[in-house]
Amino acid sequence: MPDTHRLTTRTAWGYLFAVLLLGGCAVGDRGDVSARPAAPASATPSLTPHSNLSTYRSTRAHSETALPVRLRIPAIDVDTGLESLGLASDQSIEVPTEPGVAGWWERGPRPGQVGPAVILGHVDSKAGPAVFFRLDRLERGDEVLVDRADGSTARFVVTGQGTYRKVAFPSDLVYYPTLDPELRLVTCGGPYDQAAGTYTENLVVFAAQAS
Amino acid sequence: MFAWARPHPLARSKIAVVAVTASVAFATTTACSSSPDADDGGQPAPPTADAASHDRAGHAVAAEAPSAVELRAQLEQLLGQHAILTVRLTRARLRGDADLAQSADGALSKNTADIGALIEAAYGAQAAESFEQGWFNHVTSLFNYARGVADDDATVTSVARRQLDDYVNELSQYFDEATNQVASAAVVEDELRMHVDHLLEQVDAYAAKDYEGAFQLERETYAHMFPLGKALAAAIVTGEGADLPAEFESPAAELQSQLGMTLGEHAELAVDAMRSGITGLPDFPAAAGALDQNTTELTGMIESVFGAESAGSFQQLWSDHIDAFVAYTQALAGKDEGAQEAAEGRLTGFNSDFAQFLSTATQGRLETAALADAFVMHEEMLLKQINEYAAADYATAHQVSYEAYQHMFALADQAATAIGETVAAGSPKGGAQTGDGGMATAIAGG
Repeated sequence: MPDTHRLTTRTAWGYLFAVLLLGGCAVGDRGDVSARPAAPASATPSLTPHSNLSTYRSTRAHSETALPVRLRIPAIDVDTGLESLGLASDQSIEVPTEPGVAGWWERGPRPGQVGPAVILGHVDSKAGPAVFFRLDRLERGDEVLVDRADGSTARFVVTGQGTYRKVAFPSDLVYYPTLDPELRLVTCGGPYDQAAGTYTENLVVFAAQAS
Repeated sequence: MFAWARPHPLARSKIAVVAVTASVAFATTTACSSSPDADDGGQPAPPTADAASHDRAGHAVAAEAPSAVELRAQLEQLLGQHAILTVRLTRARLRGDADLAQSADGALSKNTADIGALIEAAYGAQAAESFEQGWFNHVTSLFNYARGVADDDATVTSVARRQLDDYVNELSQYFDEATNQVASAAVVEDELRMHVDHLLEQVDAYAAKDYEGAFQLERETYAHMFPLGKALAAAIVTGEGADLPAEFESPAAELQSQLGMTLGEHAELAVDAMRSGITGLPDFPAAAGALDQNTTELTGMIESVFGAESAGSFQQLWSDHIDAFVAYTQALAGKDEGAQEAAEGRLTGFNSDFAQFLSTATQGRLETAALADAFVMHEEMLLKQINEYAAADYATAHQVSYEAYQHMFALADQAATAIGETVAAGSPKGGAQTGDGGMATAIAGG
């Protein structure tokens, strides 16, 4: 699970005790910072509305985020186009048709929108390495770039990664809505089950939009 | 004697050291809290040692310790409210509005008591009382910074700033030593400084008539309190020797937190805009702009979950309801009862339409009738607070807006659950088949 906490437990304890002590007299004389608001002397406010009040209209402007078209991950030399992925007949997620091309879950957020955008790539084909073969080498802070159809680029930084058994895939960690723009990169990992013809695990890399 | 009722078993001695120091600090306050340059007479007396054992009747003392998830939610909510109310207190002082400052201070006192109730549930009454004293005094320092700025009194501002700065530095170092570096002084200092700096900077910006900057800082300091509340809740729970339950930071809990933060901010910024608008304050355009930013963020969330078409419908409805509140405010200022009724009619239409929109979007997981009732309550509280504000009953206005803020979190909890379930129902099932085994040996070997 990614560690995206801005504050740590240590920080919280520090804050708690700090605010306890903020009120104290730890530094010198604080006699000159003791006044709080005076008791009110009743008065009716002047109801002279702001001149803009009558013309104010709440915003209706909302620009749609462009579709993702390309994924670049410099740290592992990934530079690929993007397919659009939907649901397979068994309700699992579709996978890219080409081992060298990644795919974006089109029913989820677009990269750069609030919420977790999900991009899949194969780790290998029968013939050899595929586009996400080195995904597990990504480290916290590595940059992930998603180019969009309007020429803009959404920039993310890796915050963590996790490996999960496919039979217990953490759908909530991958797909559950958030109010921050985030990115999930998914591929296969773990042992290969020759009988079933599948890897038994998925590797998920978590990234957050760069500030 | 200050004592932690149930200290962290591994840090008992360290916490005791800190706690005793806090107690001493508060006691010392009583000896050095004279006010040679205080405002006009009539202000509440500064805290004293006796005040540390004052009657806590009326405080929202928790009957039992909340769960970890509840503690997180309540701390986030209350700390966010603390930031907003402190901003209002300091701005009222900058404008020289003693009535408003007094009532904002009253709301802050209730907020402090509510936070104190959570501390009491964790550590007992004495710890809570010490907490409340400390919290009260740090607000006092911030208030007096605003006073110094308003009065162009460099001595007052420099003393307030220096003391806050010294507190941050010394307490960070102290805690680092008291915990044998368990709590990094650097991290503590960063978070403390950010909190204080946000609030001081927004005072400076507001005084310089940089209202847009002031509202941006208000939004930042509000948002900063939520991860702080989460971390504090985690520390309280784990400090008791318990593990955090998985649901403490589950995706569902995160969505509830974020949606609560955004809807709570909507209510507070709407209050700001209505109050500024009706009294013609020059910060009205900035308040309205901040409210627009909040609307844009909510619209973005709807788009990411339900698509662009739904986002367009949402924004139209949402913006209509904000406009109706503003229209009501305009009518109230002009004592135009007909226009007030017309605005209320628009809000009634919104309540029904928006309830239907959300119920449909969540595939019936949110019931239309219940939603409509919740929106009616939201409407009534925002209208009542501006009515009371216009009548100069600031205490009631603050009481109602206090409740309006909290009401949004109850709504957010229900909405987040329904939205999450709707998304989950349409999400892929199971893992992804993204490998054909050609490199299995290399992958398995790492």
